[in-house]
Amino acid sequence: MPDVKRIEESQQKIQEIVQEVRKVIVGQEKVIEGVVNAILCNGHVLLEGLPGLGKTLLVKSLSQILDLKYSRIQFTPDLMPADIIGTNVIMEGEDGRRYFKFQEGPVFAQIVLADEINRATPKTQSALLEAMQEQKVTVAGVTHSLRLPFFVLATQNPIEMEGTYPLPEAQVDRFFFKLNIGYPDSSELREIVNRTTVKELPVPGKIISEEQLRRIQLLIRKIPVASHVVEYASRMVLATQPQSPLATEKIKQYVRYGSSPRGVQTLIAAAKVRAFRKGRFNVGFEDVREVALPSLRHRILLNFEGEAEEVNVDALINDIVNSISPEM
Amino acid sequence: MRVEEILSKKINALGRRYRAIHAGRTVLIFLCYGLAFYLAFLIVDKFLHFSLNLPVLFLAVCAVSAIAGLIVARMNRMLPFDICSRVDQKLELKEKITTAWQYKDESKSNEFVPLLLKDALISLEDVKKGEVFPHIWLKGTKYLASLLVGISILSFSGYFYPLFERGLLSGEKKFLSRLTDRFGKKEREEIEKAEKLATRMRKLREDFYQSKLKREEDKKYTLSPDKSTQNFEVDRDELSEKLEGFSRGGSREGFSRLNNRAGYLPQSYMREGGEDPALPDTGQQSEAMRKMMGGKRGKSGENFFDSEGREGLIETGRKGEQSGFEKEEQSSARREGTGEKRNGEDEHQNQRAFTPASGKKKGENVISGEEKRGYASSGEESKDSSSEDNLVKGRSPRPGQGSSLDTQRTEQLKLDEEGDLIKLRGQFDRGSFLDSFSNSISSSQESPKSSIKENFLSYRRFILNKLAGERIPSFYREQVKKYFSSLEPE
Repeated sequence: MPDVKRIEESQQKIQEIVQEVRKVIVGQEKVIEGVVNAILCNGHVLLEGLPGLGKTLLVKSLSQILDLKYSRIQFTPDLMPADIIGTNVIMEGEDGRRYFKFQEGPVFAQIVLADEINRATPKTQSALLEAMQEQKVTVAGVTHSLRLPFFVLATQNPIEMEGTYPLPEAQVDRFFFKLNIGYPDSSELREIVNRTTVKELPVPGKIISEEQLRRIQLLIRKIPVASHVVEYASRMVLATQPQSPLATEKIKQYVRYGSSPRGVQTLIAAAKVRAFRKGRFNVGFEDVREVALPSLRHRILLNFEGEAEEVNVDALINDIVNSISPEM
Repeated sequence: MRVEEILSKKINALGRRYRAIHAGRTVLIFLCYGLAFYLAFLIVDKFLHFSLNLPVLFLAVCAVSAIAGLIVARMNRMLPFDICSRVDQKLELKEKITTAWQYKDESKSNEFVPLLLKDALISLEDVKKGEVFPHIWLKGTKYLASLLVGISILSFSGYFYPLFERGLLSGEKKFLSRLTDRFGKKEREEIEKAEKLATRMRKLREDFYQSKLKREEDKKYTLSPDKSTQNFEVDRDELSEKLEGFSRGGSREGFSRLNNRAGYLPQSYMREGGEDPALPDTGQQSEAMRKMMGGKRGKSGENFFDSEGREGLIETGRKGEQSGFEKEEQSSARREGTGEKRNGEDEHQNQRAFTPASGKKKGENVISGEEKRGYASSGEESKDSSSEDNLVKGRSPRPGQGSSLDTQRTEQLKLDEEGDLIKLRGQFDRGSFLDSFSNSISSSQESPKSSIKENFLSYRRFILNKLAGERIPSFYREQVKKYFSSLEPE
């Protein structure tokens, strides 16, 4: 297949995925875009929003659209890691002999919905670390590989709510995007009512195969990025560090830890996807700027002062975007 | 041609234009700095006076600024990648050109690169260089530079004026110089002609006067030997007295009167002497004069006049000529104070010189041989008179003779032992007009070689000739000439 056609087909497929998701989810354009982009980059997504905003529906719809194995984990304070990754259970054979057999947990899926992930204890939350980063699970000294593609779409309630446990920094950093789900407006609400109460719920169809998705993922990774664009993204990430000379005054005042190098990877990968979806064959500064918020907002940890003053991390990131010039 | 090459060509073309504009701007900025420095220097120069050549300094500042601007532009020159970035920024191509330029060599390994290169070329296809890098002046730089250049040039406009003059007015200047040369040549020729004419006229006039005088002299002074000699002697003494008075400061009026009288003498001689005025026999004249002098003449070494005769003559002269000019001269001499007193002394000496005193005494009033030589060298003199010959040749000094006293401003009539009748020497005013007139009658027994009229006329000729050679103002020259011309006998 000629390259151009393959690229155009891939772009078309992506567009179809988004359109299919929109059949189920009313509004939430940025969330849908973000989730799709993260999946195309083989990244995990942390969705933050109040209950009842369609987070679970979104993830479930995507699994159907992408024809991927879907599992859902409802995180509760008493949820144990083994409940997530699985455990060895004693099994009795036909000959009466007993043996341990690894019982796979819900993490052994391709799209894992970690619902209200911050309600579980950090110990349980950490159970996802290896799975999210290595796509592997080790139980009783035995490593089990997960089936690819593997996505974790976690939802969390705002951390100020009671009975929540903030995610450890290491785990948060493993999420590709953090998407904030806002409250729908009146028109969106009407549409939600119409779709859910008048007619039958639309069932999203399968748009793309697992193989196709993997090829698209590989194709997007080849999109050229100019060195000065990478440099721009790097400076942007460095600017999140309070000790960096590029840091703004607010970053120095309210931030305890800035973004890790995963932030740059995320910026460039997400920018590639965005450029690809826009029909371009290169990444520009604009792409980097556009993906800065979902890529960096969960990687910036506020200090006590920032928490006390309820500093908005998105505002800090916007400051960084505005302060860092593409010109070197 | 491959896509990569086309892209490279386009980028290089854009790069050349950008570098040219950038260099121009940089040079302009440096020029502004340089001219600002130059103007600051001008202000400082007003107080410290470095006295430098301003146009040279201006050109040096401009040159240094331009060179510095070019160097800085070269140091800050943009690479092709930067050019691409600038193109992306100008055309809002979202880093398409930059990425294509950077990945142009990875066409085979990356399936996106060929598409990107094509896309980049399409984007640059209709782009003009002027759109990407327009000639946009920095804010106010153009006006600032113009202002500074204008002020700088005005500061040494005086230096440029000669250049302007040389450049534009050289033709007219040459024309004027040619005109000046031509007129100068003509003027010189005219002056030469005028000088020649004036010289010729002067000569003609002198010749005319001399011939006229000669004619008059020949016509009027041909007398009979007896009577004329007597009368001549009387009148000569009388005239001598007048001249003596005149020498003591005689006025022009007195001298004129004297001249008139002298001019009148020949007529009286004519009347007294009979029909034949032309009597060339000098021997008869000598005889008559000897009779008149009482036969005392003729002795070798004796004076022509003895003391009595001279005093008689003086007395006669005083009585005979009670003209006002003597009184006037005396009164003016009195007014002149000490100088006049000295004149009075001279007068007294002159009187004593007429007395029969020793040779030493007389010698005081006789001009020495040196003086005579000096007079001879100072002007042309009549060669007729023997006394003049004496003066010229310096034969005159005699034992006991010294330099005359106060000869600067006096006119004297002298009689020496040998019978020199008149020694007239005068100085008019304060100029260099110094002249001498002498007349002599043979001191021996020979008859006089020339008459008083001849001496008088030769004196006048001498004066006129002298006047022609003197360097005196033209106004005075005319006045003096007029004066001496009026001495012609009626």
